[in-house]
This record gives sequence, structure tokens and C-alpha cells, in this order.
Amino acid sequence: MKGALALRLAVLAALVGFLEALCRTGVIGAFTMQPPSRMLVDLWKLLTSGTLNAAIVKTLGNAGIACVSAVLLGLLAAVAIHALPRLREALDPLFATYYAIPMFAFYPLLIILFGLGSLPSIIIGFMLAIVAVIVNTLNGLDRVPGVLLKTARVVRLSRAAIAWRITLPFALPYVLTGVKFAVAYSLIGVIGSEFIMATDGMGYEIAFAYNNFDNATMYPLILMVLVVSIALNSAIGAWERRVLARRGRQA
Amino acid sequence: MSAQGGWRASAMLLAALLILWQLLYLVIGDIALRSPLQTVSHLVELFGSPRFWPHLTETVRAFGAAMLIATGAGLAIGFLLGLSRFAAAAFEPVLVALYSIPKVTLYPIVLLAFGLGMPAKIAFGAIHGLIPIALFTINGVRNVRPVFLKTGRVLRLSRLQMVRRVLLPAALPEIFSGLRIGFSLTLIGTILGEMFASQRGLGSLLMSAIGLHNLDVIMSVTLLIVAFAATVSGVLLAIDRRLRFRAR
Amino acid sequence: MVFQEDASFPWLTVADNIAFGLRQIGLSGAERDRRVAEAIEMMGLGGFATSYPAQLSGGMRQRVCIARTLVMQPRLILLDEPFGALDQQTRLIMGEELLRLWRRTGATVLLITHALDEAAMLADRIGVMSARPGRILDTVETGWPAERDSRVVERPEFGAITARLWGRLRTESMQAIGRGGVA
Repeated sequence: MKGALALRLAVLAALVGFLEALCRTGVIGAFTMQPPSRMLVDLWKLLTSGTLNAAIVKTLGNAGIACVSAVLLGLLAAVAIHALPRLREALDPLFATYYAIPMFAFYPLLIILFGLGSLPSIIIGFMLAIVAVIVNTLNGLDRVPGVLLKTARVVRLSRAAIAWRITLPFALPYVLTGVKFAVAYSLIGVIGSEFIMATDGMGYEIAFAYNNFDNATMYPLILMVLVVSIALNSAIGAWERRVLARRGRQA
Repeated sequence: MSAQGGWRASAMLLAALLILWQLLYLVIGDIALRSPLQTVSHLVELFGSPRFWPHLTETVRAFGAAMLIATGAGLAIGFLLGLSRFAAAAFEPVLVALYSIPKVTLYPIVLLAFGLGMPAKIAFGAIHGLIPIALFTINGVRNVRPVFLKTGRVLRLSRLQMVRRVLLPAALPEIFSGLRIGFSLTLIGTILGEMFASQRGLGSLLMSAIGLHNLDVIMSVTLLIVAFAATVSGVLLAIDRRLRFRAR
Repeated sequence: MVFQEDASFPWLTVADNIAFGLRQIGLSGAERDRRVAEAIEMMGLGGFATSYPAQLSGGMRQRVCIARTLVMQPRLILLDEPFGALDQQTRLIMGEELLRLWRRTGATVLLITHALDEAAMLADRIGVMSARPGRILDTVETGWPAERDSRVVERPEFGAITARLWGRLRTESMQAIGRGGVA
């Protein structure tokens, strides 16, 4: 709906414009917030000066490690669990209440166990991401219609061939949903942990800037995190939608 | 899975986790862990100590207020956007985008806006819970089967009656799922807020205990938070399942 | 009005579903209960008053919807392919029940259906409609006695009526599907 898109952009633009006006006229003090235009300028300066590149690389790297390990282990775990219905029944209540538990509450414990390095934040990111992968992959595996598997048996495909040529392609959009969550969650986990207590990384830099009243650094960083996470999410979401669209209403 | 099967599975899972915990303790030792028994007894001690209660009440009050705001605003936005196809097309993507960002990064802005203290904490919690409640409500209202609305019109219900007697009950299972998730996220938001920037509350208790290497406090408070979250979530899940069974 | 899809409210019991429209009219509680009980008995839903639609079969849910309409004591009942989602045999039985209801309530019943046999069996008068724009192509008077049931299918007139209906509709249908037809 073109009209809806126009309305959305108009409202967002109006809000940003309103914010800009409030900041420039001093209604919102400089200590509280920068004008949005200034945020963009500062962001550009930050990126080009390269002072925070180390932090950016650190955070994205840690999130990447958490995400990739969560996806790989999650896929393997999901396949194993799917093949063992008794195990699945036992784990079902865990999956159902998993995301109700504040994972960040474990962060202090992890710091005690592993010290104040990258590992605790990676673990939090991993813990948040892995169950999303497992649950969504299980969902995808569940949805392979029995009739496709029967067709495969009629044509006498081997078990490996069935897994590769039928189950995997069919479950792919659901796996992608899980990956989308994994990306978001590992980023949330890592940045959140760095925020609470860390020695480096983007979350740490934002917290540091906050504590030092350094709005010129803080706001651009926040902006960057927002843009990156929205961009990643939209990209994977678009891929997911394309795969689903090819299926029409079947999926 | 039957209801009893569910309870048995949960009990078995709980037992397995406790055993795992105890084994880890035996392996790692007092330097970095406490056994389940020690944790529980220390938790009991904490409940007896007068210094603990102010922290507990602070968190409870912040969480309660955040939950009220998240529910009220979430339902209102959800209904408004759910009833108008155009408004939903315009603004739902904004909500979806907001849902995916690490809201943790918005905390400094919240702090600058509200100052340190209770209002900021309530805001932290509320922004976490509001979005899923709104999104699920939009979906629930939007997906009410048109035949229900037609029935209401044939029976000549007024608009208010339509909302109260048809729309709300029909959308309830979906709305309740949103409330369930909103509960968990609001809790996370409140605790996280306390961990980052507060002198009072369970979250701040955890953080100060790190510096003092006070393992007993860390483990007991963590256990308290996790147990509370898991129990309430379990109850809400059971209600959710009952609602869905009736719905189809 | 009874719809093609199941419109029973899943969050209400059978009795509450049937009573749904009665709240508006301002009847006493006793009168409401009486009408609901009567409708339950008329539609053969006895014993299911406290069940939920999720626990019933498709045919029974449709009966709940019909009961909900009946209880308003309408003079005109509209049914839009009410038995479309049911299997053929259940349809015929439901048709019989509809006839019984019609005789008992004395209401005028307007039924829309694609099924030739259903139209031929149930109606006093059949209007055959064309594809868009809908015009009445033909009106067939069946001439059945009021005291009929599904066994009218045994009568020779039944075949003649359905033949006449199909004769009218065949070309229309083929054109609608896009094959064009030879008259």
C-alpha cells in the first residue's frame, strides 16, 4: 500500500524534524540529547576517524561467534531432538519457558566463573540465540508434509538423500526464521552484557560515553547499533519472505 | 501432550537441572559456585534480613508499574492498529523494527530523559513489554474471522457490544500470548535497568555483589529471579494452552 | 442468517452460543432459557448444552448456528450454503432436519446452494441463477407435499426436476469455468 508507506515516512520524518527543532531551540538541553543532524555528522566523524573501529570489530566479532555457534549447534541439536521424540517431550517445558528467564541475570555468575573478558558476553549471546534456532528448526522439520516423504520412499531415496533433497529445502524458511532470531539475539546478548559490565566493545563504549557525559560519542554509537540491527533484521526477513513467496500459500 | 505428561516432563527436567547443578558444584568447587542447598539456605537467610526487603520491594514496584503501562499502552495501540487496516500497514513495520533492536542501547537516552531512579526503571521495563503486547494484539484483532463479525451484524449488535462480546473474546488467545511474552520481557527490562544504573533493587544487588565477589548473594538472587520468572511463565503458559484449545 | 462457514463462537458453550442474540431483545431470563432449551431439542443437540464447539463435529456446529438463528423466532431464515462443508450423507440428513424445522416454525426459508439434489429435495420453488451479473434464468415449482423428507429422491419427478435444473445450468457453468459450450 503506497499510501501507508507515505504516511509512515511522513510521520517518521515529522518526528525527527520535531526532535531536531526541540534540540536546536534548547527545549531539550544539549546535555540530554543532540539534534539528529548533529548525530549523523558525529557518526560520520567517528567512522572516518577510526577511533572506535576496534570496539565495533570486537562487538560484531563476538556477536558473530555467538551467532554462528548457536546456529550450528542449534541445527544439530534440533535434528537430534526431532529424531528422539521422548527427549523432545522431556525438553518441551524448557523450550516453552526458556525466553521467560532473564538470561542477563546469569551474567554476574559468568563473570565470576570466567573473568571479565569476551567469553561471558559471548555465552549470553549464545544462550539467547540457540533455543530460537532449535525451536524454529524443529517447527520446520515438523512441517514437512508426510506426503512428500511417502513420495520419496516410493522413489526409493536413501535416508541421506531424503534429508538433503526434501527435508532441508522444505524446512529452509523456518530455519531462516531461527537464524533471524539468532542474529538479533546474539547482538542483543553481547551488547547488553557489554553495557552492564565489560572492558571493551560497543556496549562498553556507549556506557563509557554515558558516564562521561560524552553525548557527541554516545548518540552516534546508539544510532549505529540501531541501524545495523534493523538492517540485518530486514535483510534476513526479506530473504525469508522471498523463500516463502516462492511457495505460495503452501507454506 | 496430556496435562499430566506436561507436569511429569517439567518435574523430570527440574530434577535433571538440579542434578547437573550439583555435579557442576562438585567439579568447580566453592571458588566459583554454590550448591543448590547452600543457595536455597542463603536465600532464606536473605528473606530474614532487613536489608534485603527494600531491594525486593523496589524491584516489585518498578516491575508492577512497568507491567501496567506496557499492558495498557500495548493493548490500546494494538486495538487501534488492529481495527484499521491502513493504520496497521503504516505503523506495524515500525513496531516490528523496534522489536528487533537491542533496547538496551536506548537506556542511556531513557536515563537522560527521566533521570536516575524509579521512573527510569519503569520506563525500561515498559518499553520492553509494550511492543510484543501491541504486536500480538494487532494480530489477534486483525485475524478475528470475518464470519464472527457478520454474525454480530446480522444480530444487530452495537459497535460497543461488537467489541465487547465478539472481538475481544475472539482475539483473546492471541492477546493473552502477547501478555505472556510481555510479562517476561518487562521483567527482563526492569532487572536489566537495575543492573545498569541503580542503587536499589535486585538487579543492583547482583551488580554490587560482583565487586565484592559475594557468590552467595549472586547465586541466591539469580535463583530467586529465575524461579519467579519460570513459575509465573509456566502458569501463564498453562492458561494460554487452555485458551487455545477452546479456540479451535 | 446461517453462513457457509462455521460461525459458532468457540469461546461460548453451545447453550450460550444459542442464547447469544437473545440478550438484545430484552426477554426475561426464564423465557430465554425456555427458548434455548426448545431450540436445543429441535436441533437434536440434547446433552451437549454445556459442551464447547471445539468438542463437536462440523455437522453439529452447523446445527448450533441454525439453533442460534431459530431462537430469534425469525419470519425469514436465510441460509447461505449451510451444508457446503459437510459430507454428502450428513447433508441429506441435515436437509431433512431443515424441512422438519420449516414445518414446525412456519418461517419462510431462503436457501442458497450449489447442489442440485439439495435444491430439488428441499424447495417448494427453485430460482436458477446465472453467472455474473446474476439473473434468474428459470423458476421451477417442485410441487412436493409439505410432509416430505429425503426420500423424495426415489420419485421419478425428482430426476425430471434435476434434469431441468442441469439443463439450464450446464452451459452457464461451462462458460464460467471457461470452456464455452455447445447448447
